[in-house]
Amino acid sequence: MDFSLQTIEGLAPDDSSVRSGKGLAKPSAWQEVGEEGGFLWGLCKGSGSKPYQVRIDASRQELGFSCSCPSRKIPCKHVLGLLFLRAQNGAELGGECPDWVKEWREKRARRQEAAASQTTAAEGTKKKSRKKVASFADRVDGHLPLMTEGVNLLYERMIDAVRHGLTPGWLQDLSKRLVDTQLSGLALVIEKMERVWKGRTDEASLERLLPLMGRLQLLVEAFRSQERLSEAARYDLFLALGITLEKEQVLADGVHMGGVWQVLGVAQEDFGRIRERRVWLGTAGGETALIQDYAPRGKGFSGIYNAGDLFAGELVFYPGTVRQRALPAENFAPAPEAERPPLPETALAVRRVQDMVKANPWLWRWPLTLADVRLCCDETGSLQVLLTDGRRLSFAVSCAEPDAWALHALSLGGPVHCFGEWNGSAFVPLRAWREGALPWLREECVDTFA
Amino acid sequence: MAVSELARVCLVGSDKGGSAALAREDSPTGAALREADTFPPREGAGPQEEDARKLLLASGLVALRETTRLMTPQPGEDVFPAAEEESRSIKASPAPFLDRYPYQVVAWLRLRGACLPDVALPAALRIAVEDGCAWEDVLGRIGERLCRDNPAWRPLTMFCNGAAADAISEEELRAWEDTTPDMRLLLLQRLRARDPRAGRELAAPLLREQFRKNEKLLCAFLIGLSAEDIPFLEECLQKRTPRKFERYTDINPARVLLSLLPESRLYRRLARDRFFVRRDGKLEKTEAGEARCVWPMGVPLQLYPLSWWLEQTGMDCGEFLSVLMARNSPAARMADNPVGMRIFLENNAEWTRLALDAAWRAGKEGSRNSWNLLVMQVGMLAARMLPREEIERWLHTLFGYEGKDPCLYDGLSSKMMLYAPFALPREIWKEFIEMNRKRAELCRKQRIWAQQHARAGSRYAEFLEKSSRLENIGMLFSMFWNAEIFEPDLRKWMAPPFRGTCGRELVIFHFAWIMPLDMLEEYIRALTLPSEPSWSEVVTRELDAILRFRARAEQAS
Repeated sequence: MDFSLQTIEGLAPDDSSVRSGKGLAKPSAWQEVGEEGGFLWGLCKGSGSKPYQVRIDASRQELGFSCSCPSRKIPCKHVLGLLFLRAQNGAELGGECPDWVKEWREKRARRQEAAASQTTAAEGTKKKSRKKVASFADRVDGHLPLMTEGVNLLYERMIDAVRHGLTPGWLQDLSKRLVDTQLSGLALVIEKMERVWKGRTDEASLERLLPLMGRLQLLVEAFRSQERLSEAARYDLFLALGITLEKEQVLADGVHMGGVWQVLGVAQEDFGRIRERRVWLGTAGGETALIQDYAPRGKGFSGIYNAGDLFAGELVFYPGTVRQRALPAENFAPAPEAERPPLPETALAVRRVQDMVKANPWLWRWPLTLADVRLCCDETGSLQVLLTDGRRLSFAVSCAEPDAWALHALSLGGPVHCFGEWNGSAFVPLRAWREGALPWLREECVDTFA
Repeated sequence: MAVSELARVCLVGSDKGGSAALAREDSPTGAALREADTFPPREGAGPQEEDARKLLLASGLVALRETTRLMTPQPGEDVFPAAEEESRSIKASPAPFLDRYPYQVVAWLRLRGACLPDVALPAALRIAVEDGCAWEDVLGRIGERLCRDNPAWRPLTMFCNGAAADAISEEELRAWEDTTPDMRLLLLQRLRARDPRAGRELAAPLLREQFRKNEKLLCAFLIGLSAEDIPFLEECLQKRTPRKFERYTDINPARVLLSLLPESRLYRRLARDRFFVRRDGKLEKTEAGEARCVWPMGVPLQLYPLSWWLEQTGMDCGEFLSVLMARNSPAARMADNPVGMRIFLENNAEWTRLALDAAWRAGKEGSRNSWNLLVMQVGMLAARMLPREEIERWLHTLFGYEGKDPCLYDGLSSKMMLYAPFALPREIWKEFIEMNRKRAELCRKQRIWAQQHARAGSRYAEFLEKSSRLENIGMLFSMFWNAEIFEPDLRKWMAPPFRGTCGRELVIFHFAWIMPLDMLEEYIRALTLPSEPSWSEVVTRELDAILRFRARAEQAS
């Protein structure tokens, strides 16, 4: 059971919990800590008269935890603190399992058994009710009038902005209206635009804003001529607009793909009211997949994915022209002993992204693995990617200066592999590694639209 | 560029009709606009709306084209040279510990002849520049290369070796001006060690311009101090402290330096002063009371040369030191720190040896002065000044003491161990662990030493805190003890970098980093105190974490 700092931060409901949790990641904050069979526990000194009892079940992919503190945050800072302490420790904490942990453990086991038997019983019923899940086409048709209204509103706002200039309130309430009109995908982008470009009219900001507006306009045009699109392209379009697919539908209609998957990198992005986690996986053949999940403010993500971890089993891809977003099938599980899939050549990975852009222009980011490259930082702290033959990739690398120097340092020891997201104008590194050195992992949230 | 051109037309300019002209141009913008023309027009849209729509569409098309174009490799502009050899860095990173124990991690790496791993280097370099640490021996090739590449870190390798002192390049001069005050002090020490005149000339403009802000730089003048410095130091002496009362606690460092130069006028004037220590160690009272004795002429006592003390008291130095260390000596309260400081400033090995003898004798006669300031200073001095065999002999003697109190000399021995500029032999560590075990026994009965040793707010912690933080002149120079580079014949003083963190990080943790790994477990057991369970558990857990980390890292490499 290994936790990277990034994974733990992903579980945290907000930044202040991360800070508080890190503050508790020192032995002096704990009266007792221990670990046995994937269960962690600790007694943490708090403001109450009795120490808080912190229990964590890390024996499964879905983390379980409990704390006797009165905090409403899930997980609370004590749980995070214990996880940080464990990550820092690097090895099992040891110790004898106390009764209060044993009780919780047994209770959990009983609950899981009961849930498992309920699931088996319910399976038959589900099979019968599957027909009730509306098909994608039906869902789209049902929402079409509302969506048309939302798309028209977006179009008008953008045309007004170009004709009359950017007024301070040109994006005001737009994201809320888009949510109301079933365009939650667009709403997230608008929300982000509002936060990033609020009142900023300098040339550089406008040059970043306009391409986004242009791409939104392409979406608008595609929506208006949707009847001419292929079925796969319609999936691409409506998924980009924000129509969601039921899990059952993805499992039924999606493409199943099995094999050994390596977690190439994990990105987190803050969209204000919700946070998004993107887990990028890769296979030996250079295929990539994205497990995307969301957590509202105050709650963490479920499931543990550390960069570099190996999984075996099937992923089911969402339908569309490009295989990107996927759901783990039931047989998808950690496989630490599996052979690590080799990385595709950089040229091949770049070509693959270019093909994906052409096939589905409505995605906002694409996975990119740069194998055997050098990351070179200039005096201003900006990073360049150099190929082994000395040529350079001319895109910007979005990386804060301290991280840029860390990557430069890692690269000075020899060629490195770097995985990140390509957002159309910049490469956002998420992880860099090479043999014989500790990998670099991005700790901050990604900001695709900044 | 197409994007900026479109941004100007779309979001800045008012003439949207200009797009028609742009569309005719043979440029990426023109091509995108022509492509936008192929999209069917919107029903019922007026010409202005249509113009705006086409501009937006062209922007989207340009954005998509850029998305793939930017990924095409371009010819290299500056080919990045390969590192000359693979990093010698250790495989396991001390990065998580680097925040908590930066100095200890570096001491540990030094003892093992290892370098900082590449991922930890940026953080380490930032600390090194911030605190002015000479860590070039643990940077490795990658670290050196990083220092060359990043202007902020460039000072770390400046004036280290080779380059002629009389040819300070413009780049070096810029780095000197832009870096942190602590780093500047370190650079000046290096330069003074090579060429005192060049060092003086480099520091003079800053000191003339803003003396109060930069007076710390004068501490580096202790290196290569000679009569040639007198005119400049006398010039600095004119920069008086603005507030009168501060003169007692916060005096001009130039005075201290002048007091070390027999050719200076200040030295001659001090020699004429009279003082009031009686042969029996008691203070002669004056009308103005004791305070006047402590600050004759408003000058701290560390300004007075060691020989002056002997002239005043008529004692030889052994006798004088015995008086200072005697049980309940009133003179000790007054003069222990200044005399210890003076021994350091004069770099006096003879006094150091005699002070060690005096401390040893005083302890045996019942003076519980293990944590006396003079004794601790003597411990540090001895570690850096005496030959290795002598230090080891002393440590052996101190640990072997079988008197009533087994921990009587642990202040002295700790200091010697902390500042010893070499890896201590296993026998010493064994005896040290044994001493800790005895201390634990004692603690069960008295509950004193462990607490005093480790708890924040203890006298020891307070001393360490003061010695690294306070800004009065005595403490300014005491910071200098911990600086890691001295004049060439004092290079042996390069020892545990204890500065900065010493007030926060505890001595016992420092030992956990530098003792042989296979003895660490025994050390942890020896420190376990059943009478202080909560304190003991916390310490043990932290030590366990260090043990596990070291075991993992040392095994990996």
